[in-house]
Amino acid sequence: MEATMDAARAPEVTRRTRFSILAWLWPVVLIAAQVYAFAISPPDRDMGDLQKIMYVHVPAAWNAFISFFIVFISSILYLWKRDERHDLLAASAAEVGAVLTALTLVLGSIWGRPTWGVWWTWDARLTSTAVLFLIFVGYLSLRAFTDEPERRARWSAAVGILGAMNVPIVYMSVRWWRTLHQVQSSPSTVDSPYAWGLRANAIAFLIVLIYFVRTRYAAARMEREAEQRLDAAALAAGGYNA
Amino acid sequence: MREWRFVIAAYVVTWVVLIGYAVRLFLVNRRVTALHDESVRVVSGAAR
Repeated sequence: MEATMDAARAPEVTRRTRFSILAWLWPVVLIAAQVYAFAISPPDRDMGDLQKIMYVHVPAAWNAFISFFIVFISSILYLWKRDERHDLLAASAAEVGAVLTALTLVLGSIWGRPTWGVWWTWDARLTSTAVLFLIFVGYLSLRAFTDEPERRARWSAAVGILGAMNVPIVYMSVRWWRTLHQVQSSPSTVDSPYAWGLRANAIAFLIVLIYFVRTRYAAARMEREAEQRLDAAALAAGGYNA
Repeated sequence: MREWRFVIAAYVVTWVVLIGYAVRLFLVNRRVTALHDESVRVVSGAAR
């Protein structure tokens, strides 16, 4: 009876998530941040208006790193406490992180063509980012091809921790090796008209990240609960037949 | 003018990816809600 009541409450969670204020807030905040950044930033002395790609490329990269930090913490918590919710949160953050890393790579390529003259080069920053992306594509493939939930969670946690440990290498690659890529862009390394635009867009992307991870996690939990309910019903039916 | 083509391309790609993922989330939600409803129906049927 209690399981049925829980089940009856579950769709409300999804509907609330789907129509939550964040669903409408993220596009509005992102548009506002982009308009603000365009309005206040003059063309860069060297790059001209190409500099404006920074407002999407850098926040996408930062928020991908935040996603992988969530994967790292959740994976450790899963191995420690064996609570399935940590595994589902790690998987949700990994999916969003992979999307943002792919976006970072594509935007970097679009920015690289007019400034460096190439779409792609095997530079340390680009290569380490591509490796990070491939690790999390592997993480998601591992989850898709492993049916047993406990084993899937354990293996995913191991891959998630190892994958997230690549993030500091990606971040520091521009200082550790000679690269074509410039050193990290941050509000402290760019002039003030660009810094405020960068901050605004980083916050807007953070809202996007929160909405995506929260929605994906709610769906993952509901899916897992439904699967458990169906498994329990199938077992019970089998027991009755026997 | 040529550099604006790259700027516009970058923003178009960003919005296509973000809206594309939001649509994926919507579809996942719809599938999971259907699965949830089915599981409730099965459990309710078994209980009766």
